Amino acid sequence: MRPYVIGGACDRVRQQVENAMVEGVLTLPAPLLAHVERCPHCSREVREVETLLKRLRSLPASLDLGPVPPVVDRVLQAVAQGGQAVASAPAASATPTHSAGSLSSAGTPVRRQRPPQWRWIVGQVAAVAAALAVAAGGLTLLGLRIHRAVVGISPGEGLNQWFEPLREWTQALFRNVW
Amino acid sequence: MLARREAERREAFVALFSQMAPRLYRTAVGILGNPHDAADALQETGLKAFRYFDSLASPEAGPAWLNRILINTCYDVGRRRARTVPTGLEVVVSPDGYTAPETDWALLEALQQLSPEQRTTVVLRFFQDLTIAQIAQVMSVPEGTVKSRLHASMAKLRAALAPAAEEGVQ
Repeated sequence: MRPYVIGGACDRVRQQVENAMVEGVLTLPAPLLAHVERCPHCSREVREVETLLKRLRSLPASLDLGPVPPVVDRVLQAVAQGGQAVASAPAASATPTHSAGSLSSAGTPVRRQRPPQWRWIVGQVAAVAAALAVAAGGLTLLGLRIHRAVVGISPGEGLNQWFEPLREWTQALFRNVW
Repeated sequence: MLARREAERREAFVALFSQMAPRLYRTAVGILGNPHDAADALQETGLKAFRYFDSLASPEAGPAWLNRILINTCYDVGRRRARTVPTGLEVVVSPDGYTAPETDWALLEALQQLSPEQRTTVVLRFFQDLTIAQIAQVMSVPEGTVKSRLHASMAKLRAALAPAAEEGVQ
């Protein structure tokens, strides 16, 4: 366990190291540098972070750009051939992801144009109207069947014939409640 | 008239993409961990970007816009690869040696242990040298999120690389 007190040199080094892990840059003032040279705990921690930052910064430069020109050429070739090549390219998906929108000069994201909302509303209204039409048609057919069934019988008897079982069931259901 | 406008559009795109390609490629290598997938992602990004180039509000926003498309494409490529290769992410060392011999493969492999968001944050910070505010803009997250991701990523990288570094010292 590292032996340091809050506000002491080790603690201040630790804070600088924490900052470096967020900012990506490690800066130590001269007094702390002197401390780091003496303190084995701090020197190890600082060395670790410094090495990591150095490795991270030098990594991109170490990546050779060999395969880039062919890829760039392919893209530029497709661009030169116009929209057809781009549209037919298998790699290009039909729609970009949501975040592929543009950014304004102020840096605020500008949403891509969506299809007009009225189309969606018209679609919904049409769907509801169709559902209502189907329901109305079904009820009409049912009514006609009922009518056919009760033809010749007085309406009261006919209705009683249909609703008697329902009435009994309802009364049985609420008998204990009342 | 239309033809001239189209030609100008192509010209602007070619200038932007050619200028950004090396940085985008490095970023893709950092996120995906190998040059092959990075090249695929770069190509896909270029084609997508040209297709939707009209939606770019202003030329100044071009680099951030391209970065954002690249990052999303890298996530897509990563997901596709995860589906086809059940063993997960791996750093593929090129057999034909088009990567520099001093490439830090251990670090590149350690980067693959981070979550995609953490990896992207680290790559944008160190590969493209973007500020925290710029990273927040590209990734559409608050600056605090960028900072916490950076901190968590660095802690993970330290933990992953510390044993190797100790061996090196000894």
